[in-house]
Amino acid sequence: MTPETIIHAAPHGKKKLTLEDKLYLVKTKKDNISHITIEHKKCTRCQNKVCLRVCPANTYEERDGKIEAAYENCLECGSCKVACPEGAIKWENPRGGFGVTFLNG
Amino acid sequence: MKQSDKIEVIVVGAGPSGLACAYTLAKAGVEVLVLERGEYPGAKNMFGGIFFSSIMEKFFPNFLEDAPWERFVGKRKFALLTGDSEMTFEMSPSSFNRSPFNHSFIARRGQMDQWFAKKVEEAGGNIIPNYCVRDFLYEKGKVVGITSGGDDDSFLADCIVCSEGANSLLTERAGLREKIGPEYRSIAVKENIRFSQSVLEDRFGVTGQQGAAYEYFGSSVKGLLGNGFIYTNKDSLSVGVGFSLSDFIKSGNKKTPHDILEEFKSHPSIAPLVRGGETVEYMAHMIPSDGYNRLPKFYRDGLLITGDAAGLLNTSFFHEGVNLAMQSGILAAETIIEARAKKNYSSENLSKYEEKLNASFILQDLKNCKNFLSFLTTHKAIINEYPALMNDILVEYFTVSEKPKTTIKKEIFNRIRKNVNIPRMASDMWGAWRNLV
Repeated sequence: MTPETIIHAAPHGKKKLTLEDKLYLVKTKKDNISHITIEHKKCTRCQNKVCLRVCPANTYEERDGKIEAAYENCLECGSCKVACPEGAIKWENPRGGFGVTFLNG
Repeated sequence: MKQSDKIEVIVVGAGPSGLACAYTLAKAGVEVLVLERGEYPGAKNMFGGIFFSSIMEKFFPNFLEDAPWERFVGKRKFALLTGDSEMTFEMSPSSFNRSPFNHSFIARRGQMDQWFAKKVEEAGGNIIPNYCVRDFLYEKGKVVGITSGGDDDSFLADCIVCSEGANSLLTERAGLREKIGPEYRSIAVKENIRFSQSVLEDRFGVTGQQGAAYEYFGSSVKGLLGNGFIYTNKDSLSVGVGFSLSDFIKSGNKKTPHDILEEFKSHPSIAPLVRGGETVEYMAHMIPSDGYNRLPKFYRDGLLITGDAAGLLNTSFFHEGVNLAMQSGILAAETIIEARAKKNYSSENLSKYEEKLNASFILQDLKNCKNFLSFLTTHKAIINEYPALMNDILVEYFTVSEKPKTTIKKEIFNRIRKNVNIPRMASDMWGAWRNLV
């Protein structure tokens, strides 16, 4: 009863967009200060580092054993804060008028 | 702080619940200010795509002619996906295809929320965009104002309504709920994919202002608790997936939400529907899945919370959110109008809000589906096994061969007997009827 294959069909005639391509489409007003701060000390206890896969914008990255957030890619869903088992991610709304503007939400 | 900065009511957030609250207050002659962190109302908002309009239509009887909806939902499809197959139930009743169109309209939040915000302003309410509220101001335990974090950047009010949405940062900060963990939220990601209008209409078999809402259950999102969807806008599709955050984490799935969306889009049943379009936007948002048993506290001295911030979303198949949000905003406004007459916004007076929520369809519907998510979490066979089994059986039944049909029926019967624990399935089905429908 397990599915054997999934057909990965590329859209006909069009280049398949990567996540990076799609993030580029999002209208964003970038602030010069991050609305995400990480308490790195808490990360050392963390086993599964769910922040690295829960983010729909792939904002989080582990560099030299340290979690970093590319906050300018953030789509402001807030899932990272909710999912972080250690409460290490302090996620605030960007300042008024900054961050994403969805046109087709 | 200047004394002139004191207002009767401040609403935090210009989404459906905040605006419904502000509109009701403004109509009653109450001074109301809505603070919105986005560059315009709706700029930060995302929903699946169906605007349930019954409440909006009470405000604006000319909603049909005047509001910026994309298409009415004339056609609904509920599909069960297995790995690479689909089983579908589709309906297009004549009643959905004539006014009032079952009060279901495919829309984009930016357009709809801006339209509604304009109505609030026409009614006398004020809206300030680009203003992000960081915290409440307190005086002897009573909420008396809000601040954006700047030193002299705050407003005082007799009463505050928090309609901040699913992130619920302020609600948490005000101690009205415990810390939001992944069991309280789902995540949704969606794309807006543009087509020529004629291609879209031919592909989905819709004409004029008619639209289609396709929902995909079963293992549409990698066996997670959630579903995929396609809604037809005028000349674009809203294509997305949503699933429980806790289920996503527990599954140990190495896929990201974006991967899951891409795999949904490349399912053999979905790929032909989305191919050739131009993706113009990619978005994400959280969805409350608090459910009836884990709702936050709705009020405290000087403060009420509404809509997604209060977890007021129907987490079942119905996916209704906007109408619950709007109704909660209206009930908050009515509570405030009553409290205002007594010049007393204490938690005792504001507790009427909870009574109103209890008496309305909001909490009655949430109560009705209170076990929906927990039941599915413990009965994953309903998502993965049974649809696949049903698919296999139907395939076997309809497969053309020289086998006599009586032999096929016998084989199917034997297969069921071998693969299925009949009492368990019967109990699952009874449970599904009681908890899911």
